[in-house]
Amino acid sequence: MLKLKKHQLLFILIVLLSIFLRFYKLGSIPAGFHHDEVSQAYNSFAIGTTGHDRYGEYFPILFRSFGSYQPPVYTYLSPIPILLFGNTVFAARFLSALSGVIIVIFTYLIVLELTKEKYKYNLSLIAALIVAISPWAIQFSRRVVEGNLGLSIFLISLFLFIRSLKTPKVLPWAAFIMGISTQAYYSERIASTIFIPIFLAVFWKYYFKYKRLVFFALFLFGLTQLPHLWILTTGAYARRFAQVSYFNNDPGDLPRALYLILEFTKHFLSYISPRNLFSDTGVDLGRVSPDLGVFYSWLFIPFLVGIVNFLKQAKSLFFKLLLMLAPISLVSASLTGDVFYPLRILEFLWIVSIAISLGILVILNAVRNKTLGFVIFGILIIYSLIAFYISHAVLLKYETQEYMADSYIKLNEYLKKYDDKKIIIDSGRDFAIGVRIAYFRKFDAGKMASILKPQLTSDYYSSEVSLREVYKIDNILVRPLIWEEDPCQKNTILIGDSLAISEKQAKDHDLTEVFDVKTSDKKIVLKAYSTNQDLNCKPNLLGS
Amino acid sequence: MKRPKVVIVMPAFNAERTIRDTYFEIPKYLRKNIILVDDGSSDKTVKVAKSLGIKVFEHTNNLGYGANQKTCYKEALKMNPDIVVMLHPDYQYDASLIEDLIYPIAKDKYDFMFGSRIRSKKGALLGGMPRTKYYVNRVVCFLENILLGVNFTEHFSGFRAYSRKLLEKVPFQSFSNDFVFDQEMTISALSHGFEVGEISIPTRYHQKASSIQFLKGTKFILEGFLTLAMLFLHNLGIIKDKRFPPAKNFMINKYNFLTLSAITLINLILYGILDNPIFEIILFIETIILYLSYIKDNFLAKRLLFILLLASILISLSNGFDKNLFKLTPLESDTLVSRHEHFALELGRLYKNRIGINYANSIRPVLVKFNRNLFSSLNFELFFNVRNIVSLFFIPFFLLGIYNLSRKINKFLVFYLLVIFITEGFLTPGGRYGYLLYVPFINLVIYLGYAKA
Repeated sequence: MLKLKKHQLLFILIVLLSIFLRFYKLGSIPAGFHHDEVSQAYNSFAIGTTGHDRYGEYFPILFRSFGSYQPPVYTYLSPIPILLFGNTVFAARFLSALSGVIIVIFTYLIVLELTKEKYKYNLSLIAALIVAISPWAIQFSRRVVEGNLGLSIFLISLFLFIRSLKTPKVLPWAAFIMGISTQAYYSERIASTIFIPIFLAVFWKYYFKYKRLVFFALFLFGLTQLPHLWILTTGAYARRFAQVSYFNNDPGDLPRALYLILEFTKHFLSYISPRNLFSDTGVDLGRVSPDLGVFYSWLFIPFLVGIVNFLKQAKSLFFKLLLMLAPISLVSASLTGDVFYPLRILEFLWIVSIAISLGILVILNAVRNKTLGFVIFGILIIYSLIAFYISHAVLLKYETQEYMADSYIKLNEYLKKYDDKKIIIDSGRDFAIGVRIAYFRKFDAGKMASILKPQLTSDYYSSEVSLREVYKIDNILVRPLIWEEDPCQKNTILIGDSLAISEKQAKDHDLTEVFDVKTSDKKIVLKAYSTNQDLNCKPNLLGS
Repeated sequence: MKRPKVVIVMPAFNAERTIRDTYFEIPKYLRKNIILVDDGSSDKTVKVAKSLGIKVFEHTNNLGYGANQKTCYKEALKMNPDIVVMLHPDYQYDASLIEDLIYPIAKDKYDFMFGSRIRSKKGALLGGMPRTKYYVNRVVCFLENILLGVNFTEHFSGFRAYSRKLLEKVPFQSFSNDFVFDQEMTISALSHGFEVGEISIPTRYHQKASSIQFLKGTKFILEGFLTLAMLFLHNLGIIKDKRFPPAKNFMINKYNFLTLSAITLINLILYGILDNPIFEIILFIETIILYLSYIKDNFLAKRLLFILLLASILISLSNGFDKNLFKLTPLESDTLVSRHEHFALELGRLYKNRIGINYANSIRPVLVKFNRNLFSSLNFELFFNVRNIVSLFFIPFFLLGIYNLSRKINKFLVFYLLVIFITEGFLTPGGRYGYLLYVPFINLVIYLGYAKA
C-alpha cells in the first residue's frame, strides 16, 4: 500500500504529465486555427482591449459567431492569456489546456472524497492518470472548446456539492459555480439544471436540516441564470439548439411525439455504445483523432470490470452520484441530431473514466504478482501514449491542417511583405479568414466593430445570423472574389485556393503568380496572384 | 478381497463360427457363469454354445441387438451377480482382458467400464478397423464427449461391464431393441450419476466378426444424438423420458420458456433476418440454451451452446467475413502513401527503417481495421434497431438486465462473449451478422431484466 508521501509524489507526477500532454506544442498541434477557435480568440482580444466584442456589443451575454452564438465564460477569461502570451494560437488555447489540468486535479479530489475504503489513494491516482492520458481529455484540452472549460467548472462545483455533505456551508458556493458552468457550455445548461434538484432530492433528509442554506444556494444559482432570462425570447438563446437538434425535422409517418422519443433513445444509446467510446468511429476529423476512439480500446476491459463493480456497490455514495450523473450528462447531447459528438458529453466521458479506473484497480488487486501487474499496466500506458502521439501529433496534424485552415496562419506571414499593395482574399469556403487575420494582426476591435456592425442584417441577439461578411483589415479585403471587377484593380494581389482561382482563370485574366502557401507536407493550398496593371478590362471577356 | 461374482452375457446372432474362440479366451475361473441369448440365429449358435456348457436362452424371432441385451441382463440379474460383463461372441473383443475390465468395478471405483479400441489411430487401423469407420467413430466420439462432459476415446464399444447396482437402477427395459441400446445405456448411466471408466483393448476386426452396415450405422448414430436431445429436453422439463432420472434443479419453467421464446422471436423479427431461417433457428435455440447454461448452470447446455455458437460463427463468417481486413482498398492505399510521407517527416529515423515502414504500412492498417471490427457491433442503437415502439419496450429491461447480470458474472459467460467479440474482428463492420451473434446474449439480458422487474 502506498504511503502518503509517495502518493503525493505520484499525484504531482500525474499533474506534470497532464501539463506536458496538454501544453506541449499547444500552438502548433493541431495545426491550424479552427473558425470556432478564432472567433473566441478575437472576441477575447476585443473584450480585453475595448470591452466590446467584434460587433461592438458591450459585454455580451452570448457571443455572436459565424451563424451561431458562443457561451461567454471562455471569452471573458481568455483576455488574460492573450495579454500574457500575445495574439497567438497558444494564448487562445491556453485556457482550454489549463481546464484540462484542472479536470485532472479535481478528478483526483472528487474520487478521494467519494472513496472511503483503504484503496482510496490508489483509485484517486488511477482516475487522475486515466483522465490525464485519455484521448478525449487531451484532445479537447488542445483546442479552444468551451466544453472543456464547462467540464472543469462543473467538476469544481461537483466537488463542492460532495463536500457540502460534510460541510454544508459550501453548498451556496457549489450552486453558484454550477450556475457559472451553465454559462460556460451549452451541455451544462441542461446537465446542471437537472443535477441540482436531483442531488438535493436524493439527499433531502440531510439537506432538510439546512433549509436556509439550500434556499440561498438555489437563489445564487437562479442569479446566475438571469442573463439567460434576459435573452430568453430573442432567439439567440435557443439558436444553437435549433441548429443541431432534430426537433424541426420531418417525422415522416410517425406521430411527432413518438418520433422525438425514438430519436432521443437512438442518440442516447449511441452515446453509451462501446463502439463509439472505444474505437475509431469514422473519418470526421473535426471530432476525433485518426484511428483512435475517445478512449484507448484496451480500456474496454477495465471499463466492464469497473461497471460490474460499481453495480455491486449500489448503495454507496459513489455509485449513487455516478448513476445520477450518467444519464443527466447525456440528455443534452441526445437532444441533438449528430450520431456521436463527444464534445457534448464530456461529463459522461469523465464518468466512464472513473468506471475504467475502478476496473483497473480491481484488476490490479486481483493480480497475484503485483510487480508484474504494475509492469503490464505501465507498458499499456506507454503504448497508449505512443498511439496517441502517432494519431494526434502525426496523423491529425497533417490530415486536418487544411480543415483547420493552417494555411491562413502561414499566409499571415507572407502578407506582412505586401503592406503597400491592396490584397483581396477569397472567403468563398472559409468565412473565418477575416477574423483570423485580424486576430494575428491585432487589428483594432473598434475598427472591426465599425466594419461588421453595419453588416448585421438582424438584431445582435437573433435567430437569424448571416455568414456573409466582408472584412477590411488595413490593406486586406476579405470576401468572395468578384471576377468582373477584381482582376482589373491596380496594384492588387488576389489570393485563394485552387477552387477560387484556377490555373485557367489566372491565365485568362493575365494574373501573375506572386507566391504560394504550402502545407507542412509541401502541398500548395493557396496561391497569390498580382493583377496585370495594363489589363484592359472588357466585361464580355472577364465575366467567368 | 472377496472375489466378486461375475456373470458374462453374450448377445448372439449367427455366431456359431466365433463362439468357441471367444469362450476359450475367457479366463477359466470366469467361465462358470456365462449366459448366451440367441436372437433367432439361423445357424448352429445355440448348439455350439450348449456344447461348451454355456447357459443359453433363445428368442423365437430376431428381436434386435437391444432386445437381446435386455434378456441378457434380466437373466443375469436373476443369478445375483456383483458384476455383469457383456461380451460379443463374435471374437472381436479380447476376452482375456475381462479381469482388467472388471477390476475398477470390483474395487468400487466405477459402476460401468468399457474397453476402448481407439488407443491410437495406427493401432485401430492395423487392427482392421475400416478407415471410414475410424473417422466417423472419432467425430461422433468428440461431439458426444462435449455434450456429455466426458473424455472417452470411444462410445461404440461392445465390450462392457456393469455393476449390479447400475443394472438395477438404469431402466434398460425401456431402451431401444436396436443397436442404439448401448448408447442409451451410456447416456442413461451418466444421467443417473454413475461413474464410467474405460480401459484400452486391441482392435480386432476380422471376416468372421459381425459388422454394422452403412444405413443401420447411420441410423444408429442419429439415434444416439436423438437420445442426447431427449435427455436435454427431459432436463428442460419439456418432455418426460423414463430412461433418465427426474429432472431436478435445471428444469425450465414453462412460463419462463414462453417468455424467453417471445423475446427471442420479437427480437429476431425486429432484426429482420427472416431470409435465413437456419440461422434464426440456431439463434433461437442458442438463446434458450444460453439461458440454461447461465441461469441453471447446466453443463450439458454449456457444451451444446458452444456447438451452436460454433455453427452461428461459421454462418456469420461465411456470409460476412471482412474481405478487406487483410488487403487495402484503393482509398486506404492512397491514405498510406500520404501517411508514409507524414511519418517520415515527423518521426525521422524512428520510422525510416525496415521495421517502422513495415509496421506502419502492413501491420498497423490490419490492426486498426481489426480493432474497428471488434467494436463495430457493440452499438446499442443497432442492438435494439430503434425504429418502432416495440424496441423501446425492451430497453429498460435490457438496462435492468445488465444490472442483474453484474451480480452474477461467471467465467462461462465471459468466455462466451469473448469468443463472439473476437469473431467480430473478422466480420465486415456494420454487417448484420456481427450484431446477430450477440442476439442470444441480448435476449438473455432482456429476459433477466424482465424476470427481476
